[in-house]
Amino acid sequence: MSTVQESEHVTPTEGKYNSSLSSKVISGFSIIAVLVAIGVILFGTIYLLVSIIQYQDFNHQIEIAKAQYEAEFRAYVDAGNDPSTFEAWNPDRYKPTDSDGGYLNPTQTLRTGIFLILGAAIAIWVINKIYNLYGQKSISLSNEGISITSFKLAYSASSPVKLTFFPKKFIPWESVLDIVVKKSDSVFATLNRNLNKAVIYTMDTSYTIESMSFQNSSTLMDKLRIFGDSLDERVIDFGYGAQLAVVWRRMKRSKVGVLGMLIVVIFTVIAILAAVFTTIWPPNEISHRFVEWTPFYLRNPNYGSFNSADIKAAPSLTQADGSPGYLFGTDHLGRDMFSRIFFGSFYSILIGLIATIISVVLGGFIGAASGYMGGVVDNITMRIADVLMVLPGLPILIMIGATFTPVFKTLNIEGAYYIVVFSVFSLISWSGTARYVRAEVLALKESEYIQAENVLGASNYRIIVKHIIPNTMSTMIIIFTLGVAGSIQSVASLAFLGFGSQSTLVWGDDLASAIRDSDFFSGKVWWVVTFVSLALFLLTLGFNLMGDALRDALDPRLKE
Amino acid sequence: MSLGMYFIRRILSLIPFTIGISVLIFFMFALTPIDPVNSVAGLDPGLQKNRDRIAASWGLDKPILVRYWNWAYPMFTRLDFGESWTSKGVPVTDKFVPYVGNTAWLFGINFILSLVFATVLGIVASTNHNSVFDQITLFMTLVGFSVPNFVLGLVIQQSVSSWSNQRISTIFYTASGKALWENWPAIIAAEVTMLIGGVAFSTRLVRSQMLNVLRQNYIRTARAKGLAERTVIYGHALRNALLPFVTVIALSLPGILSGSAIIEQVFNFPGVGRSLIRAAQAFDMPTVLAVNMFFGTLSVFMLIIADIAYGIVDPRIKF
Repeated sequence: MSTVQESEHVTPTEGKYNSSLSSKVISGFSIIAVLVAIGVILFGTIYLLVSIIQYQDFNHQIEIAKAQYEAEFRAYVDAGNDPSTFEAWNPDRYKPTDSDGGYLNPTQTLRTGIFLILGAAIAIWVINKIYNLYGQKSISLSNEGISITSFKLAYSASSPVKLTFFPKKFIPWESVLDIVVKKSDSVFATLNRNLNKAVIYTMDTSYTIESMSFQNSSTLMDKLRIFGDSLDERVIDFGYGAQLAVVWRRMKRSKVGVLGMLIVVIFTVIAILAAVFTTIWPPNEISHRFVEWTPFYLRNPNYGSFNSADIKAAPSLTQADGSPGYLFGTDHLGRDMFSRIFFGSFYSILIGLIATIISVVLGGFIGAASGYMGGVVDNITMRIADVLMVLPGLPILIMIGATFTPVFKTLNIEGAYYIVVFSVFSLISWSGTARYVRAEVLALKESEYIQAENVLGASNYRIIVKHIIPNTMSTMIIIFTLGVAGSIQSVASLAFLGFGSQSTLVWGDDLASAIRDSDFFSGKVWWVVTFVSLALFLLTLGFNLMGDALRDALDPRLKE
Repeated sequence: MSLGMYFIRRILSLIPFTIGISVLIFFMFALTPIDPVNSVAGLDPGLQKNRDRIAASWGLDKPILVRYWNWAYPMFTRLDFGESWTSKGVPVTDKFVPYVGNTAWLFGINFILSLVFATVLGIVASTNHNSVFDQITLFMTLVGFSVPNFVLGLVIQQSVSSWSNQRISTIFYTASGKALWENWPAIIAAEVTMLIGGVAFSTRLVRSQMLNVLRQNYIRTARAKGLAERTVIYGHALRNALLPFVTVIALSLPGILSGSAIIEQVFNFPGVGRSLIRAAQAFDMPTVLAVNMFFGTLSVFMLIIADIAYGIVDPRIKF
């Protein structure tokens, strides 16, 4: 295993290197930041709990409103009036309110909670990374190897209280494949050009030591460099993340693939921004409906939806006084198309992702299990998959949409309708993935290392989860990338055909309402369909380009 | 086993397939925790007291297995799909069967045209592998593949309308009572819309299959013995490349048929897809189920025909 010849390498002389002042400062800040982040997570959890209570309250208030409506209706009919003249049920009239009299929006509470928790989790991950690189620790070089001791809380020399946050790491010299000392590429290196870093490669992982973290770092770096030079003159690149680096290098060669990736990243950023903006300032809230401008220098996407017919504006690209004001124009209700596309991106992409994740995960598990187990299980599953394969997708989607539309007419919860419809649809759209994965598993099953696992007595569950599924990952990634494009199109198609949801804004909605409007038939309002179409097309193209490039990059049979 | 026996066996496999489809479609609708009566009675309290009567007239008062039997038995024995929920006394077959012919020729023309275009483009691209034409074709097919077809239809409507300076409704929608062919601008536009997606999909397939075949040894042998390039490509390569293509095209048919709903809605074409959407908007569930059954069965049928055709065309397959 070891590429190191005992006689060749020069063991560094013993030495102990302690943290520098800047590293102690960074450690201090890290601890405080982690404590704050944990606080934020707790706060987010409270939000989640509150949202559950709010959902119950929401349903309860809707029930009361319905009962009241029925009572009013009965009184109206008993007074001798014609039942058909009674005002129809209007979900907006019975918006549940919270204790302050504001509009009760459990979805917003839930989303705020999720954002807080996710944000804090990402922050902790980043802080952990920074701490591992620059945090307070000491390094001891000995004849046996390198030992890295992380931060310990020790209040005084005599105090028995010692809190070890991270355990001591010991890397024996025998397991070191290579040590490379090079210029640091960290943020701090832009301030101080003299900073170096040493990367220690071992068989299964790599450790990075930043010079900034240590006193006498130049001596430490020199010793590590001398040791590294005594090893073979090659960088061994199969440590942590090496596989990802190979895929990325192959991916970069395809220019259109990178273009596709760029498009996807841009749209993802837009969607995340839209989600954050909606959480801070929900445009659907009653008090915000008649405000034209959001606080983010964007127009309110719903401004105009709830106005009465006499303020209805014709679609236009310019403002009433003729000055150019709308980037993408307005639709037949005078709503700004740019902010509708911007705010609609969130649910379009989110629902596309959810639908694809469910169907790919389901298909992956079913395909892996049926391919691995074979026999009766395989036979039954594949017959079901055969039937699912011939089911026409869109008509089934229309059927599911039509079934659920009546319920969500009264229940105005953002996103719920599409998530329910596409979750149900995912239950029948797994057959394609299952077939691909099954074919791959059938080939994998015969390979030696799976047979070795079998001989060692591993359980079916362990073999499937630990060996088969990771090996089919590249297939699943490709299916997933291409599937998201299809799902986003399906969301738009469903909305376009009129099976949308009033409370959720997605990209097909505007097309549906646009073509029902008389202005559309004049053929003069090209912007009403063009920009939404362009957004849909670009995002689909991005996913398809990325999927094609990924297919080439992940294929192990294609050599460099 | 003779070809006749194989034929009979494949046709018989239609039975379990259609039963499977009917079970899936019916229970997907019936097992949702939603009372269909709400679609009519909804929140209208005046209709609340009629709920039981509506449910009984729709046959919803019986247990779910009995409902399935009552729906499936007449359907399989005498093609009786039941009665529409929205128009009293009208059989479901009247709601979509008259439109089957329209959809059939709209899609038949599109299917044949897209096969022709795809084959030509695929051959030219693959024989000039890595040329500028090949690269452009590859990129354009990806673009054509990515455009959602309703988006394309709407953009075509808009651009033709602003170019000819006429209203969309006068160009693309016919008044009722006129013959279908008088609506020719809409039909041409619909065909073009579908062709772009279909050709893009098939061209990629033909191209990759041709590239695969052109690398084979027997092509090299054919060239080495001095055959003309035409004979090599059309006589040897193309026939072998199109074989797997038959199955893939047959498998993609459900997807193509699904698109019919959108295209027919965009161009207001009186076809099965449009009747499906109208029925679904009116919550006429028996019609929706029947159209789904129709599309599903048609897909199975196409798959079986493709299987048999594959067996006849490919001499290597023994029955």
